[in-house]
Amino acid sequence: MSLLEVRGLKVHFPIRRGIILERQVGAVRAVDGVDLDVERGTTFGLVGESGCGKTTLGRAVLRLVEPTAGSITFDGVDVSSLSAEEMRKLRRRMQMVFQDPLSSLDPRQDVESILVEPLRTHGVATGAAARKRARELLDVVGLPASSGGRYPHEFSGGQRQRIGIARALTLNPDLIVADEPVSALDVSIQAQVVNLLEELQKEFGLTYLVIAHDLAVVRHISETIGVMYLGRMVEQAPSDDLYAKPRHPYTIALMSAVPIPDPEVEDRRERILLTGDLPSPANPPSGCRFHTRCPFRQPTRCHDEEPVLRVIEPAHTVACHWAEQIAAGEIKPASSAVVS
Amino acid sequence: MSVAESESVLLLAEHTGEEGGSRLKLAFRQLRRNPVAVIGAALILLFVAVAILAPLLAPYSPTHGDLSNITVSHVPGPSSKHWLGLDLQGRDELSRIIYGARASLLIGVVSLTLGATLGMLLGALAGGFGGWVDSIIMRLMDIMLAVPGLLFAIAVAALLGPSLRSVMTAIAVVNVPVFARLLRASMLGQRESDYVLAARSLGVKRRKIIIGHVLPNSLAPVIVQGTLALATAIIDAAGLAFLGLGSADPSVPEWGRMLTDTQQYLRTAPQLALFPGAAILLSVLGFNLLGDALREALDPKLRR
Repeated sequence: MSLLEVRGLKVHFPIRRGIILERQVGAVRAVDGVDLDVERGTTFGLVGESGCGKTTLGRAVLRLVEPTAGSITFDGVDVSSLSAEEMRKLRRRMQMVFQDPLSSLDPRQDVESILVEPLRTHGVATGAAARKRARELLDVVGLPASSGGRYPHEFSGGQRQRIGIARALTLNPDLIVADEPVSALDVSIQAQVVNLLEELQKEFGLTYLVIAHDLAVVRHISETIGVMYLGRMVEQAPSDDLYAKPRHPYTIALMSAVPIPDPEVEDRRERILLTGDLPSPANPPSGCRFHTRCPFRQPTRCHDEEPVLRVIEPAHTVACHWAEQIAAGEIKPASSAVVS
Repeated sequence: MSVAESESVLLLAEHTGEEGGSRLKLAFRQLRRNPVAVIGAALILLFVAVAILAPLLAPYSPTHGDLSNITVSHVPGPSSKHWLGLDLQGRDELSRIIYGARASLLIGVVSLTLGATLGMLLGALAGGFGGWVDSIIMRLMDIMLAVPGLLFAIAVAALLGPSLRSVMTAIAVVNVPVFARLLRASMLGQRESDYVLAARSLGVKRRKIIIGHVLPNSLAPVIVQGTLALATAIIDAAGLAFLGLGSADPSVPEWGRMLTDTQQYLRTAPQLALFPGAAILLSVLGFNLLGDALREALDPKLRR
C-alpha cells in the first residue's frame, strides 16, 4: 500500500463579495480533482508553472489548507476526517520543507530553539536530551554544532535551508513535503541541498513529495513525476519515461524548453512556445483546460469534452484525447508555435 | 560531507569579524552608530533628568514670586540673576520650566503606559482570535478613531473635570485605539508568514503560535509607536493645559498653561511664550528622533 494516497482532491477558495452580508460569488479552483500515490521510500515530483495549484496541493496533503473535497490517506489513515487534535499529533509523521528558508524560520528564535520546539511540542524530549538531539541534527545536515546559538539571519541561504531540513527531521517523519526546496538558492548551492535530501532519504528511509518548477531538479530526485496544469494532473509517469516520451502537449512544450547539453542536438532542438497566460483558475476553460494554449489543439473535441486521465502505457497516464496520434506524429503542432 | 565541512569553515570565518546576536541586539548596535538616535536619546535623557532632579536644578521656587518688578508694560527678561527672566507673577521662569518637565513626563509616561497596555491587550485579542472577537473590538476602535484625537481628549478631560488625573486618562483613552489597531495589523501580517505555517505543520498549538511566535514578531512597530506616542502625549498634555483642562491648581507649573498665561502679553514679554514652547519642542523632538531611528533599526527593509 502506498504511504500517501490522494483521491479526487479539490481545494476551492471561495471568492466573497459584500461587507456585512457576505455572499459567495465564485471559487478559485486551485486544486480541482487530483489523484496521486506516493510509495514508501520513494520521491514523487510535482511540476507545473506558477499558479497551477501544486503548492496548494502540497499544503492540502498536510491539511495546512482544508480540502474542499476528496480524500487523503496517509499510511492507512484518512487524514481529512481527523479532528484538529488528532491531526496535530499526526503531524509528527509528516513534515514540510519550505521554499524561502529565511521567511520560514522565526527570526527571533535561535537555531537550537527552532530545533527543540517540535520535540517539546510533541513531548518527545525536553531539556538536555532535546538539546543533544538538536546538535545531532545539525551534524546530520552538515552544519557545525556551534550554530545552535545563532539566529537565522546570520546564515547563508543554503545553510538556512539546511536548518529548515533539520527542523523537518527532528521528529523522524515518514513523509516530507518539500515545496520548491531549492528554487530560492544559488545554482551552486542547489546541488548541495538536493544531494543532502537524497542522502537523508537513503539514511532514514524518507518519502518525499517534491514540488518544483525546475524540471532538471525534479528529474534528478524523483522516481515518479506528475505534471499539473490549472489544478489538474495532466500526465503522470516514471521519471525517465516522462523525459524520454512526454505524451501530453503541455509536457511536450515544457520539455522542449529544456536545453540539451550537446551542441549538435541542441542546434536541431525545436522549441514549442506556449502563447498566452495561464487562464484564471476561478473560471477555467471548457473541455480540456489546456485547449486555449495547446499547439496540438483539434477542432471541437478539445473544446467540448474534458479528457480524463487514462493509462496509455504501464504506469504512464495522460489526460489528452489525442495522445496516441500526437505520439505517432499524425498530429503536428501548429507551425506558428514551433521555433527552432 | 566534505562540502558541508568546507561550508562550515566558511561560516566560522564569516563570524570572526562581527559578534553575533539576536535582531534586537543588532538593532541596538545600529542605533548607537546613528547620530539621529544619539541626539534623540540625549534630548530624552536631558528631559527625564531635569524632571527627576527638578528640586536640585531649579534656582528658585517655582510657585512663589516677587511682584515688585512686574508692570503691565514691563516684565523683566533674562538677566544674570534670572536666566530666563520672570513670569507675570514675578516667578523665576527657568525654575517653572524645570518643574514643568515633571508634569509633562508624568502625563506622558502614565497615559502612554495605560493607553498602550489596554490598546495592546485589545489588539492582541483581536489579532489572536480573529472572527467575531476581532470584528467587535475593531469596530469599537473605529468608532473611537472617528473622533479627532485632541477633541476626544478634550471631551474626556472636560467630563472628568480639570485635574492631572483626568488629563492622563483622556490621553490614555485616545491612545487605546491607535495601539490596538497597530498591534492587530502587525499580527495579521505575521500570521500569514511562512514560519507560522511551519509551526503549524510541526503541530505547535495555536495558542503557542500566537503567544510564542506571532506576538513577539509583531512588537517592533508598537515599540516605535510608543516613542512617537510619548511625543504626542506631551503635546496633547500641553494642549489640554493650554485650554485650561490641566491641573486644578493654577500655581503648579505646566508648559501648556504657561503658554496660555502669556498669550495676552505676547507684545510686552514674547520670551515667556518662547521658552515653554522651546521646552515642548525639544522634548517632543527627542522622542520623535529616537522613534524614527528605532523604526529604521527595527525594520529590516529600511536597513542599509
